[in-house]
Amino acid sequence: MSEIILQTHNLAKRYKKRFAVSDLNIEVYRGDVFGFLGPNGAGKSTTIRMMLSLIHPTNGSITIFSKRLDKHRGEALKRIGGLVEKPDFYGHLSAFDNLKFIGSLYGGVNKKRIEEVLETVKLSDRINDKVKTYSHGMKQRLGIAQALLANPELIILDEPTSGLDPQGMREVRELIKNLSKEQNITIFLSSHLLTEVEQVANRMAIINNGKLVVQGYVQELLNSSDQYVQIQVEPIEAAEQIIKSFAFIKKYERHNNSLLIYTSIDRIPEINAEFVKHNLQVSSIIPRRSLEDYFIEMTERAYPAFQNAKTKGVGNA
Amino acid sequence: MLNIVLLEAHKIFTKWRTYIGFLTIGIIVPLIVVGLKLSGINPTQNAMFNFQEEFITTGNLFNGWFISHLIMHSLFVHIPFLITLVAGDSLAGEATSGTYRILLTRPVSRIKVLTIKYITTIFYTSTLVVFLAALSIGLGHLFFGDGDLIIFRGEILLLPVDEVWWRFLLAYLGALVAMWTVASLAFFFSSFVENAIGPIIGTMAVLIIFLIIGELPIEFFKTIKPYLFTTYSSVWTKAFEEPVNFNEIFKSISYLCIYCGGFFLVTLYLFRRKDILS
Repeated sequence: MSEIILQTHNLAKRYKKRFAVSDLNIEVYRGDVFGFLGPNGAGKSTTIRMMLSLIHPTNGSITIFSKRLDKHRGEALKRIGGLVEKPDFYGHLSAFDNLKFIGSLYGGVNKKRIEEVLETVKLSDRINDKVKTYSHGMKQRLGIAQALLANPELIILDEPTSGLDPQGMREVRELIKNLSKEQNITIFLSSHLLTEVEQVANRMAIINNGKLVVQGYVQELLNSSDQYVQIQVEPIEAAEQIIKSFAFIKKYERHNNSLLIYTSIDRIPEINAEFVKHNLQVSSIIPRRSLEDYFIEMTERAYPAFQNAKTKGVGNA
Repeated sequence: MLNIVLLEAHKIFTKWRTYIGFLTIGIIVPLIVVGLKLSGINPTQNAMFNFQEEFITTGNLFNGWFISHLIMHSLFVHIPFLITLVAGDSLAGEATSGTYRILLTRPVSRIKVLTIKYITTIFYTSTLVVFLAALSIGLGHLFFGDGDLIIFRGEILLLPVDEVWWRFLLAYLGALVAMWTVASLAFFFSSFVENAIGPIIGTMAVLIIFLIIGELPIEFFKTIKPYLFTTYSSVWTKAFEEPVNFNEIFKSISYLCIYCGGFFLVTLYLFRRKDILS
């Protein structure tokens, strides 16, 4: 097993009477792209702020590179790059001057390294422009550049694609993949965009209401969750009768004008053929196996009322 | 450390807010000097009107030193206000712009970050006071020449030209420390909030309230007066007394230094424990 480079031990943060994070235990291995998932307000940013020593835990501790963060803060932060929430910089300074200042907080970085990281995030042509003239996407990329500045072994990114257009999101995802593969940097990535984590992460944790819901390898967690097919078909009552005739379908749900059929994807042609044979109108067939469904499933457990509202009927075949 | 201080200074001195103070002094002082020159008003003559029969005055009493001394009175309220514009923004500005997250996620301790910011705040304060001194003395002498310094403070005091320069040096040294105290207070307030307006208003409110309390002839206020930093912040006026009470000046400057250190240490203590939520 790989070395654990980031670990939280019963980590908790309380604001007055409310726990933003409670008894959180997560482990990040060297080389991981670790997705840290949760809906808004789940406690992701609070956790990240604790990892980067911006806020102090109420209980528990954080171990980074096998040393307690509270006791070896400087040593740990020397090997970490971070981007917390939106990327804010000194707007009246250029990208170069911002990075020069940030570099000085690591004991100084040379001009070549600043140019390198700006090249990595494709901002070389705006190196001397004041940051206040940058678009949000450019600031986000500059945020990643500053995280890379001191050649970190671990990068902690808090929703790095937040506010970006689809093209910008794809570029950031590609950048994260490259950093992991080519520079062997461990990446801790928080997001509420689940497809994003599914695309880039090998391990993940889901957090909800400040508590860990589940953590593990993305593929293992996906495989352990139910697979189903969402089929929009009319008339839906006739379709239900046909589904009941399939022995391999153990469970289905009626969801608005669709049927959620719990079966493997390779059974879809067979089901579709039967619908067509009975002159049913099939509008769409969507195999659902994504992390997003898994995430919704996990978070809905914490909100049963929400789940009930979404699912009108449940039946067993 | 020096490298970071220089970069922090670069950060401050590339902000337009920093130049409000210099710009204000750069406008007001020439306006006063040129205005007095063009108007032909001689305040020393007006003040000496009642004594014309008893005294014969010779030489140039309405000179550069007199103008500079007149302008120094802005050190009570006006210059502190200009100082708080930057000192109050020193930490609160980082919170407002969200750049605490840049500063405090690095392998430098909060003590170091705060110390660097405090040093640059003190440096800014010093440059502003030095600028005031240079401009008022320089322009005063350019337009009104040299001479003895006449001071009206209930009585008339005439200080010979050959000792005025060191009295001004001493006065500005005291003024410098007094302004550091104001900057330290604004810096302290700045660590609490996420907007510079609060520290600016807070510091000015404390300053004005303390100045008023210090002047009110009420027994309770008299007992607390020795504990107010404003009691010592007028230390610069003591450099123009005859004879100069050096012990008193040293004592006042020492107290002001203790206030500076105290404000800084309390800020440090609170800032180390502060959760950065901005």
